[in-house]
Amino acid sequence: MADRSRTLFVRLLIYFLIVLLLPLLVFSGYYLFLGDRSQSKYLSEQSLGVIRRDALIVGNVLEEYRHKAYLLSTDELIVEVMKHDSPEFLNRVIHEVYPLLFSVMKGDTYLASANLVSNTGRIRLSTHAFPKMFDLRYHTSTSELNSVIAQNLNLSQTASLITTRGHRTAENGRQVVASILRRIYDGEGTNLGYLVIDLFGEALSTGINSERLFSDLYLIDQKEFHATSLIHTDMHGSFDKFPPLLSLKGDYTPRSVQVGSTVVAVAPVANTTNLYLAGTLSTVFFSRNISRWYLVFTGTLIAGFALAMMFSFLFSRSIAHPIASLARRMDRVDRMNLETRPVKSTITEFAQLENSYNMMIDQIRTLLEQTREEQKKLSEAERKALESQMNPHFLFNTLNTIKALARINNQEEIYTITVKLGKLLRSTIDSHESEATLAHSIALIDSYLTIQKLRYGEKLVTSIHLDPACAHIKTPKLIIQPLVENAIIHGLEPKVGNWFLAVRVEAVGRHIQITVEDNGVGFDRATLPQDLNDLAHSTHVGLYNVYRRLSLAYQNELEFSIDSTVGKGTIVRISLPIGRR
Amino acid sequence: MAYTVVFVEDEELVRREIVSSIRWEALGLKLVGVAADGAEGERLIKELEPDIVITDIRLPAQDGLSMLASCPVDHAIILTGHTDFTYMKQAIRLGVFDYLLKPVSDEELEEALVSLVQKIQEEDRDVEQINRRHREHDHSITLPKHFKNHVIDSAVAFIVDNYSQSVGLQEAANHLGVSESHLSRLFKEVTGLNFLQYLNAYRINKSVEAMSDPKKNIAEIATSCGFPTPGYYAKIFKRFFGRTPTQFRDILGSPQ
Repeated sequence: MADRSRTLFVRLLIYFLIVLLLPLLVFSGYYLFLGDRSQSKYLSEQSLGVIRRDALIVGNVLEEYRHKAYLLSTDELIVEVMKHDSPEFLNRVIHEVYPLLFSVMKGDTYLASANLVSNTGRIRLSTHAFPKMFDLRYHTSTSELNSVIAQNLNLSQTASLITTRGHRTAENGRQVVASILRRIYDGEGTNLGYLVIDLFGEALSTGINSERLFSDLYLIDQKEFHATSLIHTDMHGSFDKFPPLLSLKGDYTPRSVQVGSTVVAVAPVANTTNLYLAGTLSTVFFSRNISRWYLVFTGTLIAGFALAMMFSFLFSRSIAHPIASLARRMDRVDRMNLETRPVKSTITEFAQLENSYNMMIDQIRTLLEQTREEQKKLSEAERKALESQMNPHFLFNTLNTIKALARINNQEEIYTITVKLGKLLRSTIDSHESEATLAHSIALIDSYLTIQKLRYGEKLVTSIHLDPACAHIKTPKLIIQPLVENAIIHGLEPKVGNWFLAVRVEAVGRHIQITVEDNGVGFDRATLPQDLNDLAHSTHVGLYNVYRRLSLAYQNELEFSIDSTVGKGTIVRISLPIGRR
Repeated sequence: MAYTVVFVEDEELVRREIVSSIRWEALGLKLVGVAADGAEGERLIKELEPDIVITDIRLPAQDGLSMLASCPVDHAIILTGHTDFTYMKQAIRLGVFDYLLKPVSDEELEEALVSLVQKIQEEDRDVEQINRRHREHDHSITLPKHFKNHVIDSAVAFIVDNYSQSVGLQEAANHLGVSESHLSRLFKEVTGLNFLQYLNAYRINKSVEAMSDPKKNIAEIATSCGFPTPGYYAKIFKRFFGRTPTQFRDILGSPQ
């Protein structure tokens, strides 16, 4: 059991720490073990959402330009120009053609260029410098445009083709990231020429990746296995050039995939069939962010721990300290260290406890002092009875021998004085009781007076009366004897003439009345202090001892009076309650 | 007939004084022996079997209390200068009649002796009463075993069960869970007999029964019936039957 008991302080400290640290530990545990996973899940979801939105934006832009391509390629003026296929005719209508071109392109010329070319290459119109690669006069059938046209337009004669294969640097220095191709037909369905709208990088990259979530965005042409970066518009080519895209493994259903530290998100570009938008982002950056966050988090955690420890310590101490100090003081009581200390605790119950403890200690101290004093007085009375202590057995046996001698030699007075002296000494020094019956006390006085009468002869007349009703009542011992002794030594001995001494013990109602009266010289009442407690410092020390012992025993129920007249005598009256104190 | 007294005291003056000052005859006593030490005292007591022993405690050879413990003494008065509590406790256990502290006046000792004589006379009256009322014939004492009192019936049962052991009033009171004084008073009240006399009478009855076995000698019979010594047995026996066990057995054994 001993090793299981801890101090209240330690116990409180442990409890407080548990209560304070538990939420902290649960919280940090969640982040340490689940934070990583939730972070990457969050990243995937977010990237998918962003890529879906961006694909919609890109799709809308493409749709807008496709509409423009449709408007231009079906415009009657343009068809007329293509039909004539002659620069002369073009020159005639040039003032109508250009405004038409620019009005359709609506000032988007920094985002895209519109180019028209007839099959023969004789007609070449452009909102910008006409791209050489579209000049059909110089191109063989293997030219880029032709190959594009050959590969893609055979399927859909009238539809617009959106391709990223025409990637190049335009004559104005901008990167062409996508091209919209459309054939121009006359009314009979004869192919007259082509319309190409080249989209510059800005046309598609504006408005996407607004959160800068992705490190790169790619426009993917699924059929061509060709990708173009929309951020770094000069980068394009097959997937080999963009390793992250390989992780899609040809599956373009909208999702996000994490490979290593790279997240790839993909979604179809709206309004198109073969284009997809993919975004890549590196989690390295986020991990770095997270590890910085962890650093802050750990720091906060440690600070939290430290604060929790500190508060636990302070709280525990504030509760445990008063109890511990009380316990220490109680412990000291064992070693009779009875000190009280002012109440300190601000906790009501502890203050009460300390208060009652102080009161208890005060009472114990008072009681102890009383007992000590009582013992001191008693032992002093005993010491007075026998100044020099010797082996009492020797004394008593010797007295017995003297008694025997006296008897053998018919010395009756020696015999009596010896026996009475023996009785007297017995009850003063050989009894360890602090109380005696009144009968016993009176027998003692009788012995004492018998001896005194032998000494003083007929001069001393005594009267002893003991009410039989009081005989068995116990009082502190050696109460009457010192008064009788006082009466003889101080009252009678100095007096010339007859000596009379009376001792009466009577029951009066519920009280015992003890009277010791002499007709001695008396004393001046002025030498008696008003308060009997002040007798201690007067010449009446014997009287004071009797009074003090009685007042310790009976307290308020004691009545004690001294009446003396010079030349007439002295009466000491004591009234004690019958029954237990 | 005066009761016999043996007085043991090591101090010669005190011995002389007591011997000469106490009015033995007037008190109905006869001082039959005086010893100066514990060993001599024991020898005298065993030899004289006095009714009363007056002794000091501190004695040469053997202290007064162990002397009393090793002798069959019915009544004793201690005269001592010692108020030692262990002495007093021992004295009470030995059933000492009074414990007087030196210096003892002759009057005190005489008072104590007077009340002791009264007590012995009372006991003798008990024996007489037993002899008068409960003796059907010469060979046994008739003792009633059932009284209308649970405690006394239990006390009698205790005697029946334990008479062969060294037991007395104290053991019976302990066994029944009552105080010695209460049991003593109640027993006298209910049975009209002193507890010790009843016990002795019961033991005597048992010893008479045992006498029919010729293989047993008197000493063996005394021990088996719970008497401390054969001498004490003989004394008690004589009180009831007016003759010693040996004489009694002779008469019993002689063909009628």
